[in-house]
Amino acid sequence: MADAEMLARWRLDWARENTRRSLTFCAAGAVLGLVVGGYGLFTAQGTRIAGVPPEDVAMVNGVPVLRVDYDNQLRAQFNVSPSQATPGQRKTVIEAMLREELYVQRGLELGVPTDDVDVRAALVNAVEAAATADVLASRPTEEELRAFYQANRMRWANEGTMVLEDYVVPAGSPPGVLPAGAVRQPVMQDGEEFWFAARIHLGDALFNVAKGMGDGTVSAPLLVGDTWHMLRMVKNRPPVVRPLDAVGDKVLADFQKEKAARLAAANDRFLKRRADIQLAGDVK
Amino acid sequence: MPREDGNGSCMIGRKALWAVVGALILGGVALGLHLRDAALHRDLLRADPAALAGDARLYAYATERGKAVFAQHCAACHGAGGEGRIAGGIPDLRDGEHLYGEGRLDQIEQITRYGIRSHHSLGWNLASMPAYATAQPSADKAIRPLTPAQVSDLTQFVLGLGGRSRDGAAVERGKALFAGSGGCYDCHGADAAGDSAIGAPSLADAVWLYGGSAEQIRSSIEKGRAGVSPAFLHTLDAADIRAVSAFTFGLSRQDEHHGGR
Repeated sequence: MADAEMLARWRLDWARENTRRSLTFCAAGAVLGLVVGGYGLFTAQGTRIAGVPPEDVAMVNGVPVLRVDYDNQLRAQFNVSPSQATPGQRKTVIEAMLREELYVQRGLELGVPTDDVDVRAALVNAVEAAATADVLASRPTEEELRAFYQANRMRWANEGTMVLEDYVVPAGSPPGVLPAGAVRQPVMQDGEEFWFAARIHLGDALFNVAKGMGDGTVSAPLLVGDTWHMLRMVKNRPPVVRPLDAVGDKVLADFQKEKAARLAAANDRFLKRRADIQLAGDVK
Repeated sequence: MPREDGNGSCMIGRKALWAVVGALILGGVALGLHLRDAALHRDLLRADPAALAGDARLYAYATERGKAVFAQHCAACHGAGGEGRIAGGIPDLRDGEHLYGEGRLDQIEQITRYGIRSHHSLGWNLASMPAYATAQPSADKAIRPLTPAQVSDLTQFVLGLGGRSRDGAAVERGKALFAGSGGCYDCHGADAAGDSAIGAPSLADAVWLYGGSAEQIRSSIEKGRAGVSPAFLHTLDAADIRAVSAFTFGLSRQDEHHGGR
């Protein structure tokens, strides 16, 4: 009986003591949680309310002035590193940067992007460039790059070369043999030319025939304008596909260029879709 | 029935007390480590890049942090150890040669942040190697195309700069082109020593970004070059940019010089 009373009293004391302890722990936990949460909130990356973040040198109406830009400006203007700069040099640079930021913000308040053609053009270019820059920062996989190369191999081929003679011949000349009256034309008389140059010098009609000719062959008569031409191919070296390893940089550049173009087109569509555009009746 | 010790306290209460003390110690250690890391992070961002390598504590922190960033964002192109790849025109970051600038940490950081031909207005984008075997060799400069023979002469001239040409007449013709109608001197300099202010490589040393064989040099002349390094301004935070720049700076200052290619 006495044991039962003692046990009941002990349980009561234990419960009283533990209730107090629980409440104390709860309170301590809550305070700790608030401290941790508050610390995280006020010091998180990008937080702008705990003074000037270490990556910036100033905040102007909540807009950061980057320390790296400040450092670069010191170097550009005075050819000194930040630790070597005098107080006067630092003041000159920071004052100029603050002024620029204030004027940019004032310009936005005044609606300069609406009125100034140069500002508008610069904004358009900057937005386009930002999208492209994001594409460049991501690298395609090797499989993507190889597939792109396989689908467009001739794009990175060596430029072909040819040595060719162009003759004006009498109408009705037989094909494959230069007639006695053939007159050599002044084009391509300086020797070997790249295919792109030959196309310019010969014109598309003659070049399209020439590029398929073998060494030492003579073409059939070709009517260009009102004159008949025959071509004699001395040496023709068509473009040769180059292995991916040799043109990897260009394949990557073209891949990213096409991706950026697709992204720009998608951006155009997205911006139009989310915008509220109303057209006047006469321009619909 | 719960056990009691000699003082009448409950063992459960004591265990809880120890647990709280343990938790507080662990929390204190974690907080201490976090504060230390936060202080290093802040000091790294506020440091003068030119003086960073002189601060052993900060430099060690930066290179350790930068190593992880490099592995995640740079190694795909530059290789795990920064060894580069001729096939892609990816420079060897270990060889102490710098196409842009003199290899100062702040210059490396500038490249990391704003890139090369990255479409960012603050990136390096002053010159590109014209493609002389195309109708319009340069998009923004009035440069005339060359003939196959002229490309051969220029190739011989460039080979000759390293004593590797045996065709003296071609070297002389190439030299005239280099200093004349080819316009090569404009970027590479009259002495072909290059200009790191615009990223024009020296043609007179043994370092070849795209390979130094006759075929590779000819290909560079015919098709042009315009290597790209992305701008990580929007991909990495400021501390990671500085850290990976410090790591890259360290790669280029390794004692073992790997020489040219």
